Amino acid sequence: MKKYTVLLAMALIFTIGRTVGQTYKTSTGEISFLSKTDFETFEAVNNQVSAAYSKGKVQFRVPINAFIFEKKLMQTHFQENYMESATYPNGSFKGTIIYPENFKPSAKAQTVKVKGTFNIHGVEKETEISGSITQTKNGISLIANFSILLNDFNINIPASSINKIAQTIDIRVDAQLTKK
Amino acid sequence: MKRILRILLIVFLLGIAIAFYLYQNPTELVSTGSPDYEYSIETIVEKGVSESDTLFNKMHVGKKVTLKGLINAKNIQKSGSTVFFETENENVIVVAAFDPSMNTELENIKLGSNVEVMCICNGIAKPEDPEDLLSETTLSFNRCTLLDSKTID
Repeated sequence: MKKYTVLLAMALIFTIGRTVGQTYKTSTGEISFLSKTDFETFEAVNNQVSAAYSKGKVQFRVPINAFIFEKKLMQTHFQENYMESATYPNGSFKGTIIYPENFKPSAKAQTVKVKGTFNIHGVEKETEISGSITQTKNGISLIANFSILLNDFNINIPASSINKIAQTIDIRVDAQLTKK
Repeated sequence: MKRILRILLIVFLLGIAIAFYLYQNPTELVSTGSPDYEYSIETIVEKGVSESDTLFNKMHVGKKVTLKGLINAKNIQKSGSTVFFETENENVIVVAAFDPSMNTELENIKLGSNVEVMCICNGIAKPEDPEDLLSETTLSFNRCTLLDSKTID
């Protein structure tokens, strides 16, 4: 009996160890952003986010050119003038979960705080963002809501559009990661 | 004098109408017209891996590119679909995104089919350091249209 208990405990530790140490990834996560002023509201969606989670570390990378706007003119301005996507084609975030300590994913959604570095428009900035992580049947669900300030990343909006584009942009990331 | 004012008014109104039209023009969700570059998957992967990413992106981001290759995975969603091309290098991902209006056509394509698509290039992303969780090189494309598909038995 004792032998079986030890074997069972070892199998359990091995399984938990594998889950904790496993890398989860996707290339089809979704990111959306919202710019809202008294004059105009802009929304854009991008479903080509690469995201990964492993051992309390989170990373995502966003191809800037994959943001789709409703209006062509805004699409062109965003890609070519504001984000200069040919020069800075990707935005990224790389961070470590700092709360809760020793985080382990579970079937219940857990609110996490991640400390890390954004790299947008060629500018790196350390920050903390909040989100939630859930262990799902197929992997891990990663959701984050946060805001960024355009000035922090040297994204210059011309005077003619200053009233139409918010200085603070609200961003939502939703990625369903699977074991890799 | 009156005539000049009338002409100026017409020019002004025309200007406003053109600006309004341009502003309201919707984004093209599917690539049309002539491509800027034409590649097989092998060629673009080779180019992407061997060239500097800065150079590759300067040349390709925002450009129309046709790609020919085998589809090895697809993910069809109401919000838009993606297909993955087979590459000889397992550390390279080539992913192409489609508008939901292309879903029916994509549903009919079998995995392993040889397809030709035209897309807008989003660029290449390589791992920044050895510790990167995103350890693969990714070549991504969006607003794709399916030009041709052949099932290989």
